[in-house]
Amino acid sequence: MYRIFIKPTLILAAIAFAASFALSHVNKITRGKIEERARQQKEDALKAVLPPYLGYTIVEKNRKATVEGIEFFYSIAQKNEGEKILKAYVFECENPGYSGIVRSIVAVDEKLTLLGMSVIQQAETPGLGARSKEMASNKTFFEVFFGLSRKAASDKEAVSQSWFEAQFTGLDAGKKIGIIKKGEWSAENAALRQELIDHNAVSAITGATITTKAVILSIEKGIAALKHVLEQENNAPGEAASP
Amino acid sequence: MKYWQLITDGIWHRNPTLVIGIGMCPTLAVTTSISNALWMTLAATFVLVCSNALVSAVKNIVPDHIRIPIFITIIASFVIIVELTLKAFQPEVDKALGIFIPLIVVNCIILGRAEEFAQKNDVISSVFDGIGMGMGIGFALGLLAFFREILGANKLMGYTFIPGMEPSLVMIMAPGAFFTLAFILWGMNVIKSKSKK
Repeated sequence: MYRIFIKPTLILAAIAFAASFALSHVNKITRGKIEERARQQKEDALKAVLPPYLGYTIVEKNRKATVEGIEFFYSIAQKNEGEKILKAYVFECENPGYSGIVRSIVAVDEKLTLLGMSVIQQAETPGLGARSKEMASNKTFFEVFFGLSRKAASDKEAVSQSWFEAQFTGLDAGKKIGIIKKGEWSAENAALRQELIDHNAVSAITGATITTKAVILSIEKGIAALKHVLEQENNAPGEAASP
Repeated sequence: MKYWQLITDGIWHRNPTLVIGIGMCPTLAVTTSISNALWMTLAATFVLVCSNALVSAVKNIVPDHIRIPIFITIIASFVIIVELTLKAFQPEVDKALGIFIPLIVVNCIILGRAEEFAQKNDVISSVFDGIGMGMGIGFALGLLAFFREILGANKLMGYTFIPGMEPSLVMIMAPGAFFTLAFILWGMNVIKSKSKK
């Protein structure tokens, strides 16, 4: 009895206790850091999609609406341009990707032109879909290895948006966004950039078309929800009467 | 000398990935770039060394018929430590490796070494076995990633390798991993058969 049931139970309990004791301490050390990172990431994402030089200031943060049973969070930003007040909207949107949800934060202006987007959550395949967050670098390995460009590390940090995210800026989200398979581009490749804008399309991540589609679909869904919310606001009787 | 033997066994004669042929899932999945392979190796080696040491330390008090749940508890705890640490201090790595960090728990190299080696040997040998096997993983993953990153993405350590070369997509997908693995095994067997003569 003791040998078959009680002893194993006690040992298993002791080891499980030791394990949870150790893990609770590790958790205590790392939790603050992890939360700090998450907050920092959201702030960085907001800066990336609504860069300060555009001049917008957030006037209403994290408004919540329910569109067809799904919660939709959005913020309103505005800036004065001459007499007019221009508005911009920042919202979070998501769509299933190749493995798990791909969530992005997106900013559009009044005409639904994309001001910027940033993928804030994804669990796509390393080397394929996960490259949606990869920074483009024009430096060759030999240059870096032999020290020809020492500033490589700091250069990388200066850009907070990956090429994949950056290509959404300037596209018209009110229309359908297409996909062209042209591979990576960088800021220097202006011809490809122009071609993408002309076609209102993005270049897919090589080998990760599903991820690319997921991001586009999520933006479409987000725009649909945003339009819905804005229509409701405009039609609201209280709003129409106010100056 | 015995310890040196353990390390060379792990890297070459009994390389977990290339000779024993276990732990294939992370091997094929994360070797798309060298930095992913290196971080995976570090994470797996840390878990392997710690779990080997602890399994070996508790081997005399663990009844035989409940050893597997105990080993898994020990391994899972170390994996969670690695995961939380990466999340806190290397969030980029955590994002790049994604699901494959928690999946170290079910990596058969680690449970395999606990079963086969650590529960039969003393703590110091087990630590050296862990280091050797970890270096073996690193050797295999590094080699795979070296070829796959150059051929599949035209990059090395994240930087362009040959400007203007068109990378071949299949190399960063799963089949490319198998092709590369086959060539590496071939090369290894050629070297081995030559050294026997």
